[in-house]
Amino acid sequence: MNRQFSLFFICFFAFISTYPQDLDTTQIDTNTIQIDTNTIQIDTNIINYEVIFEDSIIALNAKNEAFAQSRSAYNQGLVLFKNKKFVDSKEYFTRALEIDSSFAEAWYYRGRSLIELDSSILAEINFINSFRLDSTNLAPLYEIARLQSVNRIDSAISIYNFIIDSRSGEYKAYYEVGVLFYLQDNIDAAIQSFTSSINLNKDARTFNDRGSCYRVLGDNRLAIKDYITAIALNSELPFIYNNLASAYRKDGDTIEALNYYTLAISKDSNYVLAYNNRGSLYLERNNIKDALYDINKAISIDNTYSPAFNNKGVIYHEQKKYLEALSYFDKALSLNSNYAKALLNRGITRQMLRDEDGACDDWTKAKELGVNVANKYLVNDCN
Amino acid sequence: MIVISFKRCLLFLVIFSLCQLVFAQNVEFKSSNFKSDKKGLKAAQKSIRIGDEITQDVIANILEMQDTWQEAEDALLHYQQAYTFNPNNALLNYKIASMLLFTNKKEYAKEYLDKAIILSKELPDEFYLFQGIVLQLQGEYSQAIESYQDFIAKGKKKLVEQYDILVRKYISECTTAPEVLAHKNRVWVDNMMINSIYDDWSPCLSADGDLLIFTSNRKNENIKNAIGFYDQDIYYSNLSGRNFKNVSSLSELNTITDDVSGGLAYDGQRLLLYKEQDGNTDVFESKLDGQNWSDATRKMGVKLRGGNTEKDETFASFDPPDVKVYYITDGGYSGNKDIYFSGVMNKERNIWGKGQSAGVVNTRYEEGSVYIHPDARTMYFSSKGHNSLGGYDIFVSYVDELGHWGKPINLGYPINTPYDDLFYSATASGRYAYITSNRAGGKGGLDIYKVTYWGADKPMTSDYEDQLVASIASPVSDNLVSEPIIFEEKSLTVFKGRILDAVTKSPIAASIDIIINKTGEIYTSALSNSATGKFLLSLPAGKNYGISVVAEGYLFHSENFNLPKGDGFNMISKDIELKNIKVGSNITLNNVFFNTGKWDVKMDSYAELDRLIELLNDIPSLKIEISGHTDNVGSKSFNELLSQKRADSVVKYLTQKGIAINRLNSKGYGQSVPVASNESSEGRASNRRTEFKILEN
Repeated sequence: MNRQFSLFFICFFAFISTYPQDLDTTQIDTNTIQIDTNTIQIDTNIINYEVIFEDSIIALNAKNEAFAQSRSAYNQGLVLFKNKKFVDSKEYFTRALEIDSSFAEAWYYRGRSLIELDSSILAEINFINSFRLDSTNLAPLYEIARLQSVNRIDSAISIYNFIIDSRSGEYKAYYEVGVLFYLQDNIDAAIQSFTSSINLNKDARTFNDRGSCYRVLGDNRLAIKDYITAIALNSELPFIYNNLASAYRKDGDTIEALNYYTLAISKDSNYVLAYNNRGSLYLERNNIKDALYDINKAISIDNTYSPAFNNKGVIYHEQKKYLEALSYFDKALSLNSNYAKALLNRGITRQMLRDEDGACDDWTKAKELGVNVANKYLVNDCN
Repeated sequence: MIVISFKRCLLFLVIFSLCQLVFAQNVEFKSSNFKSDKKGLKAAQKSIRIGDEITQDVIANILEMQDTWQEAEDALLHYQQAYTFNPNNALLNYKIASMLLFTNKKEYAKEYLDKAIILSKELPDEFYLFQGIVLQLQGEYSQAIESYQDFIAKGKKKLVEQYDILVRKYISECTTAPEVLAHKNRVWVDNMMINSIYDDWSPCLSADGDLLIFTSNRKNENIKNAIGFYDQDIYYSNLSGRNFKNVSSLSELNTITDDVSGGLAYDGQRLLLYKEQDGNTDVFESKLDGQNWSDATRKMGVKLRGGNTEKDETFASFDPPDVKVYYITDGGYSGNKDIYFSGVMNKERNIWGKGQSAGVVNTRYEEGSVYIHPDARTMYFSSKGHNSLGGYDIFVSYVDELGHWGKPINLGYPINTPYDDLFYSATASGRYAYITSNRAGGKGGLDIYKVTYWGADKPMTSDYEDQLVASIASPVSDNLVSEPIIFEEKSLTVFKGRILDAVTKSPIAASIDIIINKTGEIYTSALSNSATGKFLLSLPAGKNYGISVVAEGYLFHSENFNLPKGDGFNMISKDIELKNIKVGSNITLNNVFFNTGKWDVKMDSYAELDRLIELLNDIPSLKIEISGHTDNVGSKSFNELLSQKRADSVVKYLTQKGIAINRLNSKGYGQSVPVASNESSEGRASNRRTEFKILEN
């Protein structure tokens, strides 16, 4: 465990220990109660000791009843949670915890209900309580890390590393760390984490993600190899076919690319990405008819999918139908006003329509969004 | 009530008009046809006779391959007078058509020629020649060749021989036209909004494309000439947004006779024009002095020396190093209009070398205009020769390393048409150019057209996305943006900016030299404009340049530019600030402010005073006097006291910022040294001021 992580760990548990519980934590130590059944005599007179004993029995019964009520509330909460009735499930988990605040599982599920209700901060507190009460269960830590990965990636990575150090074989933690490294553009580290996960558990998704890392690094051959392995492990995931198709496309093998886009569509007939991607590939191959069919299909599946409108604009532009092209670029940009490629394209179409001011405006915005080519157009055509 | 529908009326009118045309009779100019108006007939016949006489001159000019639009217009004027008397004479219609073909109204010739042949089949043999020209103008090249061949076959031998060279030229143009037209130019050619119904022509552009100077015979305050045209005047327009919209007369240069722009220096600070003196035209130069154009003086030496001959030198172009002038002259060996150049031998004494032919760009036919691009290696010129599509076409020629101009290339359609297309003036980037043409569809006569090169096809970017990471649902766009293919990018840099006083930011007239560092040679020199401080220099790539800026009383400024070969087109905008160091110079600090009657320096004065501190820090030998001045409001003694306190305040500010007190004097002059009249509020404002004077350096 490195020094940085140790520091995190100390802070993390310091936070846990200082956080006030919102429920009564009064407990009775049942281990101190002993009953000698061999010396039982019937005596109707109740002496003090017997009074104490009777009280203890009552207390035990009461405790057992409370325990039963708590578990019952928990069980009802669980049913509601599975039925996605998160407001109600949270209420029942809260009831369970009001009766038994040391109920680690109730804290955990109450946390998950809160996530569904978009109360991530409260959820995180619940997960902390759960883990404090039962440190053998790492599920709350996974949830905390998942919550922190939204905007505290480094902290999330530290939690996953804590999990990895706590228990061997936690391939999920390796996987999650890999995803976080990927998001941080630390592709080499991501590949390392995915590989560690794969060494512990060969999973299609992990192979897919490592393949995508290889693609980002430009190694399409390794990417293709991983995607193929992923499909061998699970042949029902359409996105892996789609990714494999795009890897072949980047490798220049458009025939295989078309085949795998088609396979992706065969796995999910409403897979908008695959239709759009195959359409754009048809367009690259100047097969306008099939390109238009696929792009139209993508739009019919999801009429808010801006890349399909951009591609439809490109199809019409290539056919010199500039007014039609313009309308589709407009549509793409109405769905995503910061869609840089559509801005770049619309600028070109506008130029062909002799709207040079409009073209320059589009390229200016595309440049601001990081498209370097737009700057070339601005320098050449807008000065 | 009888209601006749609009459609029926229209149908009736169309049938009626067609009948009139089909059954139109050729009406001869005979007294039997005009019994009631014999006087009118006589006048019409006289007009035709005069027109015919002028036509002889026109034909003679045409056969000599000379431009003859003025004579043709003159003939037309007389023919039109007869036409108003009798529009249905076949021969007259034919004559009008034939003359229109040699004016800037060629597009209207067809209408008259068609009418002539409808009215009578008995037309002169030249009908086939003129019909050929009309067909050529319409782009019907095969039919035009047939018509020319009909002329050769059917015309009288002597007549055909007379037109032999011309007809063979026309046939050659029609034969090579498909080859020229096969090259598709990716350009837009737009008629400009500054055009009028009159001739608008000879566009001259500054290299940054901001200033356009051109010539027009549009309506002005002068009297029309004998053939009904106003004299040519020079106009200018400043770029507004993407277009030239407003036009103003360059009144300093315009006279009651023709004034014609010929070539603009790349920085827009000098204009070549031509004018007639003592019977022939020479190239003259006018310089922009501040806001005004100076009187034009003869370029290329004194009369009949250097590039000047007893013949006509007209349109001209500077070259970027400013050591040569390219010009059109008919004073060369061939006797027709050719492109010549003359090199400067002594700039100060205006001594220039004798004109020399520009080489293979010249033909036995007329060359009409010449323009050297700021890249110093490209010549655009117009010619009726080479492989013209008809009339003048614009060609490009590139210079080789020995300085020889290469084989001209026709710029092709739509820059060139079978009509006259001439003049070419471009931005330094080469993206925009301005040409002149009398093509059909214009606003009238010659018009100026904007040529926009839209370059190579810009690739579209289709988009595809992947769900790269299984646990992240948002798809990721994975393809790159398509890169454009850049071609024909001019390899030069335009360096533009202003020369300003470092402290006051006022413009300075400075001399700018561009030195090729490797050889130490001066590549070119320029002067910044005294009113605006503006300068513009075009520098070909592939060299390391030094720039030195010198202005009287100012510290010399220099810097370096390295422009690697093939660096493409660049536009660098930079203001150069010079430091005033002349002993005795008095500089007004226009941005030093005080409250009325107070002497504390206001905060908004700090920027200007900080620039003064920079100057004093840069030149430690400088000693200055800070002086305060007031207007005449208030008593003399109070004003003296106030101005002294204000000067002291400025000195205090300077010393607080580290300037040694022994380098500073302060003096309050009160109202004793006014710079303007105290009678007006503007004058009083000018008089209330703070100055610094350089005492020692």
